[in-house]
Amino acid sequence: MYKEFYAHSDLMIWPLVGLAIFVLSFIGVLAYVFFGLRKSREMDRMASLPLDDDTGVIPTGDDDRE
Amino acid sequence: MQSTNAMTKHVVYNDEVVRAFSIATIVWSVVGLLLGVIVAAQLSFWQANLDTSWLSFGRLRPLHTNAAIFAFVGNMMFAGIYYSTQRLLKARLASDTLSWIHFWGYQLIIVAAAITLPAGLTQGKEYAELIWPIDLAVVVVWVVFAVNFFWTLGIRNERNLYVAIWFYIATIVTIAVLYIVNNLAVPTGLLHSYSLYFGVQDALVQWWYGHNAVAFFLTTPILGIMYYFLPKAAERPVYSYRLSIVHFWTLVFIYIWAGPHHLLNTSLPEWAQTLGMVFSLMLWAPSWGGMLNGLFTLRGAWDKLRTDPVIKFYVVAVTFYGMSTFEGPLLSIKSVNALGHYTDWIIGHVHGGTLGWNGFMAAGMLYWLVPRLWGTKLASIKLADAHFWIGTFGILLYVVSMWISGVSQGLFWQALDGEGFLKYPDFIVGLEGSKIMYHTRLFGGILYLAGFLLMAVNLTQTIRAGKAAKVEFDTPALVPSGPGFFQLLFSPPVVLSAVVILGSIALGMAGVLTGIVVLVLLEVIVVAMVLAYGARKKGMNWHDMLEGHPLAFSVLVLVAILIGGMVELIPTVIVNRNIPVQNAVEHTGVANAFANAPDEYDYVQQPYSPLEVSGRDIFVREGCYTCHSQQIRPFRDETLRYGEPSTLLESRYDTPFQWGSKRTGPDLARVGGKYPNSWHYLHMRNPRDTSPGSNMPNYAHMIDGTVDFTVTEARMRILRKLGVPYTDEDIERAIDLATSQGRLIADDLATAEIDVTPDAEIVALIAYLQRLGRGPQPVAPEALDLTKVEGK
Repeated sequence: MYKEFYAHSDLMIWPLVGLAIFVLSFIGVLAYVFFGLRKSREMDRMASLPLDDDTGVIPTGDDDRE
Repeated sequence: MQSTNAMTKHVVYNDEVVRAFSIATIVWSVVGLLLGVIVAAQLSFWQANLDTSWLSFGRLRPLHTNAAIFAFVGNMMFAGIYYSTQRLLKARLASDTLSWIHFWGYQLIIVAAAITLPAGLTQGKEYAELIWPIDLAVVVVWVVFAVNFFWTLGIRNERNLYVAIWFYIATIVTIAVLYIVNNLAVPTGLLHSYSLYFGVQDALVQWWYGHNAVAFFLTTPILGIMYYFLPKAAERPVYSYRLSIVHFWTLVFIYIWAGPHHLLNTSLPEWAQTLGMVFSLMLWAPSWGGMLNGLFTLRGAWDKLRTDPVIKFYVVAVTFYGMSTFEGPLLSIKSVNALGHYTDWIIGHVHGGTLGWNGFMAAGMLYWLVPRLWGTKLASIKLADAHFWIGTFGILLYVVSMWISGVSQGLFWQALDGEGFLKYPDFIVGLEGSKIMYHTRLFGGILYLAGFLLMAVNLTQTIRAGKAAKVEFDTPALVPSGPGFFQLLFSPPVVLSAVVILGSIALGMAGVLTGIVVLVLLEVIVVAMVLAYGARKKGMNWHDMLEGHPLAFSVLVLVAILIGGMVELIPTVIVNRNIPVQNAVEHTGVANAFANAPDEYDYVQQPYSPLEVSGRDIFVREGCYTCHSQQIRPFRDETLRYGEPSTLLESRYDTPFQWGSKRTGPDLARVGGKYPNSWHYLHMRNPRDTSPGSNMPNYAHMIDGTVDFTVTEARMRILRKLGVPYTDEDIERAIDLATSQGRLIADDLATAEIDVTPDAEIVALIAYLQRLGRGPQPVAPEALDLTKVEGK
């Protein structure tokens, strides 16, 4: 099946090479983002933003749990 | 970092509209799922079509998909967006009036869809069936939503935009572009129009839209909702804000390219197919990054999985998101697609996403939101737990049965005997083999619907026990700060990205290094990301600054999605107008096209006759494309079963294109001439008479229904304006030509003792079906060359 689709075109190798490089690059970016960046207090604040609003926590339990 | 002065603002959230959208979500969820159960029942038991035109599968299936996607998920999305946006921006929605116009306008659109689709008023394009007046209303309501949303961003009291807001921006911007471009059409009357695109153009534009409707209506807004509501439910901050940045930009940039994977192995140009496949494979990475970000947000809170139904729904929803986004790229590999496309595997894949991801995210959100909106507790956790388990079991039954059915169908269709011929030439045998899986799917769907009925009861009791809650507070007013719009837009990361992207596209468009374009474009993502984090300024990195500037952010999102769209669409739209026509014969008129044909296949590209135009409109009206494709792929089994592979030329005057996406019934691309007229008549009257075991509805209403040929004439005028080369005579004689061709068919049917009038709908449909895959057919008696007829 593979040969049926790719045997007749030289260009068809490029998307596969591109995919391989994309995956490697993507892993590189992930590594950079997670290990190369300084800790940012602002980033931590933003990550917690949904918890920093007015709603508070209203218990969702009811009496039928028991 | 937030710049404030001594001023404070008093904020009262507009939760009335959130409550309204939440109630609408509950109502439309039940309606959309009920419609799903009905169409599933129709596939199991053809009698469920009730011999009623407006209840037939071809009309109800679009209603089901529109109700599930736009009514159910749409209302859920608006509730989630309006609730979370106000809280993330610490601001009330900018305009109450716009909020209510949005709400009521959207509900009216849904009601209009519920009336028009069963009536057969459709554009005939999947997920874009709504007729043009409703399309206009959708655009107006979407603009109202967008104005309200961006206006709210403008009056916010929080400097930076949280990741959920980014996903909402991407949704609003991209859906506007997709919806408008795909629905460009010229009206032929108040209730009908023809798409501006033909054949392969229409196919590519439609699936660019169709795929990205999934991406930017069913995925990005729900991801935004996930990024807000999951941390709320888990009472933990999002696992990684850094990962969310990578997730967002990579997803938004790549998703838009993947549309052509719906057209793999078709007559779509090879380069577009390859782009679609490769970019689909790339989607694995950001999708799974997002999924893991969601699941890891629950770190330290997994104990809640035992007790909190909201967390249960979210965990399963995010898991299904991961599963669907694994399966999607898998199905985009050409060899896998060769097996899975047109089969029930695709149905299983789609429903894994919609039932698992969208449905359960909606349920989780509502169970969390409704008690808070009405200031009370959830009426019953036990009932919510029951919903969870019934729904999960229902999804599994649905998805697994469709996987089994789909893979079996693919293998069945492809099977060849030892001599290289079809092992199972009779299509119906395969359909009958799928019946048990159809019944299982129906049962799974019923369970899933039952779960949502429990939810409706539970939430109704919750609402009745509570009272509309009002949230008000004081917050420091935001004073705008940071770089300006142009400063951000022309900053190094953007300029460098633009140069690299444009250079890459220029290389690719030269036709020399198409493969390298793919490579380089991907590198752009890397460069942009690196620069985004590298260009620090006064302690703020570039992306941090961008988050404080909604306009610049929105413009960059627009650019990101337009790149993929333009690279794929523009060459196709331009090239299709210049397709080299083999054995080209100028169209000199419908009346004499048949008599002049040296070989009917040379005339495949000739326009449809007036009667065939009418028949095609009926084909579209009845939603035949929901079960029948018109696209033969270049595989041995398909050419043995259906004929030569389809070519671009054959659909160059097809608007809307009818390539289809599912084969519950066989492909029709070359059905012309395969059966006599009488066979088609009997088949339409009751498919079981000619094809025992078929689950196709009866179309007896076409025997009594008649075609108004004056309408056909008007439509041909519009088609000519759109580029179909009808002559003046074709249009002036349209009524005569349609009547005479109808008479020829009626006379032929009379020889089989079938009495029907020349203007009957069934006659027009037969004319169209007999034309498929063939050149012009006899139209007028005076042009009928009997020698040729006998020869054929």
